[in-house]
Amino acid sequence: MRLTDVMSNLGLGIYPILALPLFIGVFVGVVMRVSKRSRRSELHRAGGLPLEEGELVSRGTACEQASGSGRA
Amino acid sequence: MAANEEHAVSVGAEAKAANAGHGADGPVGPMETFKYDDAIVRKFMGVTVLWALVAFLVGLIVALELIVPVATTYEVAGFRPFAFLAPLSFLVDTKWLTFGRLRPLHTNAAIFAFAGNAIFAAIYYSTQRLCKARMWSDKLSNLHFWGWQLIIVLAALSLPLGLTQGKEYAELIWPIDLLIALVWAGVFGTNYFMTLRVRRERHMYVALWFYAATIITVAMLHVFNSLALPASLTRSYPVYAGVQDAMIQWWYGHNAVAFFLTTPFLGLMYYFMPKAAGRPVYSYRLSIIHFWSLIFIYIWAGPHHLHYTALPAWASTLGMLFSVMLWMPSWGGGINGLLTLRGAWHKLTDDPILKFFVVGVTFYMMSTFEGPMLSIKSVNALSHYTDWTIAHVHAGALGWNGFLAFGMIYWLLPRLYQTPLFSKKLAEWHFWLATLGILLYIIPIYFGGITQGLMWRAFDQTGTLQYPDFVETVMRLMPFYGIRVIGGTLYFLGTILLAYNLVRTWMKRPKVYDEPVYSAPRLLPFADPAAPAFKTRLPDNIGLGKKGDVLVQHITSVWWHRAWEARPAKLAILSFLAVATASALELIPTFLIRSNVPTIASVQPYTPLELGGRDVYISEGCYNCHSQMIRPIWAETKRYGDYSKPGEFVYDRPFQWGSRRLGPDLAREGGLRSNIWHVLHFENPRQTSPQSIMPAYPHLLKDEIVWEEIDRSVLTHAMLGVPYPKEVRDGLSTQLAQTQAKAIADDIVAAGGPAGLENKQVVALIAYLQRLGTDINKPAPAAPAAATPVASTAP
Ligand code: HEC
Repeated sequence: MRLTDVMSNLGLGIYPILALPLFIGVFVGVVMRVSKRSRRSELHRAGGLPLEEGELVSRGTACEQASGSGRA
Repeated sequence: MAANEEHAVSVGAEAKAANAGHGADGPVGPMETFKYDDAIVRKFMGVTVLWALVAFLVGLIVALELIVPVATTYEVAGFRPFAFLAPLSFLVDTKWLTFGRLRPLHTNAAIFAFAGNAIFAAIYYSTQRLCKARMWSDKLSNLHFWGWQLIIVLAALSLPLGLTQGKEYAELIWPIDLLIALVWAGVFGTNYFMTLRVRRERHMYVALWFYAATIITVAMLHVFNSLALPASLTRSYPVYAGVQDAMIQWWYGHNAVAFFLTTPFLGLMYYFMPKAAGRPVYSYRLSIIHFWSLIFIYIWAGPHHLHYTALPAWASTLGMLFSVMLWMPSWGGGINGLLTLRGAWHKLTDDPILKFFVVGVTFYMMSTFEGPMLSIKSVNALSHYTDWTIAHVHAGALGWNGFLAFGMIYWLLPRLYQTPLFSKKLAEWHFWLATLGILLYIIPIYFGGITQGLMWRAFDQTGTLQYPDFVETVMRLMPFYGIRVIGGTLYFLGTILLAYNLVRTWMKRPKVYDEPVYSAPRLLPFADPAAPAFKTRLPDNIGLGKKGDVLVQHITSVWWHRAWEARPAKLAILSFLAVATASALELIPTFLIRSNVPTIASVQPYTPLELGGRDVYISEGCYNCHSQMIRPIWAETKRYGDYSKPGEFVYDRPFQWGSRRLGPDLAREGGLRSNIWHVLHFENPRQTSPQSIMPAYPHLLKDEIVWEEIDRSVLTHAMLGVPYPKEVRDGLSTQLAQTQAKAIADDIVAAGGPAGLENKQVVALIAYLQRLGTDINKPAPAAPAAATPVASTAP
């Protein structure tokens, strides 16, 4: 008795078939969740993240201690 | 906010108030200051351009190799217009430079050296900024950089030497594979996920998700596809054989395109396009859907599993549906990228960066439309093995990966070298040269590929093949191949302009780079004040029921998902689960259910000499031009003989089905030609087939067989379960191999060929070729040598 024999008798052939709807289901869940209205402000802010770099404290050159906002 | 600027550290409450603008949910800690590590980005960016030059140059060389043998002798009216290419003939008969050895170098350099370093540059630049944190460890960053370059150099040395595992895009030998796993997962992965852990921005921007999925999935693909048993320091045999090896390999190949060339570049797009356009991505919501749909669907859309597992028709249809569904997120994602430029289209006219991005995204949409189309069975029947695939991948690699990388580099150059770009005009020139170059590359190759496919299946009125001579179909490609070289040259020239621009910008850099200091509050452990506290609605129930009810409320409120998104470890686990589950469910049936690969009683293991010949075949990369898989299509069985059965490959480690036919299929080569024909053909294919573009292999007639290697090879196969009961006994396999070699060498002499070949590699290779595809017509041995019972033979 080898692993192959065990696995052959488990009827695993059904798995891919079960998994397809399962995956569609999860995916639809994600889409529904992302579309929730309550997330609008959070997502709006998150969308702008690439344009932030953090607050600039100094330019990092010895003489020039500039301060100001680093945000674009 | 100004209040906090001079204080590196302030109390949590203050910081929280100051940080109100960040809108992050959850408490924040004291202010912290930090610097970004841009030195590492400069390094990765520099080598990206360097390896781009190498990858494209090697591409040009292999493109030339396909035309030189024929072009130099091409005559019109007694005149040879392409005689000037004659000095390049050495490319076709120098053993280190033959097509079979150099093409893997080209693909590996383009994918892992050029695209790889480009995504590392993108990831190191954007991750730090999106996390408002320096990379977790500078040491690991540098170890990653130098480790990866070492891998590339080792690849560039080993592939021309013929050291290969013989699996496409996974050619590198096992010690290099180990190094890749170590550098990718151990060094890069650790550094990346630890950076996410110490980040100062609660929300993980979608680009970070794309990067995380890339790191995890590529690690998984690489490890499982590379599982092999070493026979020596440079040689190993996969633990999978035949159909299973093919399944694993194309599971790897298909998803490597998804997770090495797509997801990280999408992360790049979602970060650098908004940067270049100066406005946020058009729809952030759509980008999240884009992410999850790629993770969930891509693995499934691999069409290969549909061909070899016994899926019922409706499941097969569902699978097709997945492929078609992939169109939506890909196009949604592409449009999302393009619409990021809303209101900024006027900038396009004089901004080469935006031009590169827009055309790059357009190529993404084109390729993701074409990909699922190519997976439709009827289209695939025509396109598979032809150059259509080559055109498709170049639209993707040159158009999508190349242009996104170039756009990013031009955007980074002034910022990283802290001086204006040397020449915007040259960047414009680069854009136009590259665009023209791509078009001159892909359009002729599309034509060529389709022509090839149509010629292979063309029949005349009498029902015989219209082009029975394979070489004729190759000849028809020559003009297309010629134009391709011109297109490739333009693209290469464009890249030289980029390199020049980079060097000149670098020369203007300041003596010392500024290192700006930033500040942001530290994040405290996530505890969302807005998180609902659930109470059971079942006061009369038993304890377990109450707990269950709370759990149900938790799950249905989907609050957990927000917490998951905010935690790198959990996000990583979730995407890993999605990808791993899909893969497991897809692969397990082929692996562990016997009926999927019916054994054929008459198919026996290779003899020791044939095994040695197979090693030569792998080492020379013959699979780059020759397939060994005849599909059940009339035009193919007519041309090559009976179609290939899964059971014929059970001793093939690795499988050598190939993916492209520049030469005829060899699955039924055994017995087709005489031994002496093969000798002459390998010495110089033009001796037997005047118009052949196959490289010459005179060295095979000189290089000696290393008998101990054959011994080790047999032993390793035996350890992997190949039934070699007696061959593994001390020295017996050498003896068997020498006897067989002597017989072939004698036959060659008898036919008037050269003497003294009995210990030369060519004899081993011929032994292998003469065996190919012959077992199926032999009677089954009286007592099956295999210990495993025979399930069934193909009807
Ligand atoms: C550049 C692509 C290319 C490479 C690499 C290549 N071949 Fe070929 N091969 C061809 C072409 C084209 C033909 C058809 C013309 C001819 O007979 O030479 C061919 C024909 C053959 C044939 C004759 C098939 C028949 O019976 O008609 C054999 C056998 C063969 N190749 C074996 C090999 C082996 C073994 C290697 C590796 C050592 C190899 N080839 C590498 C392109 C290639």
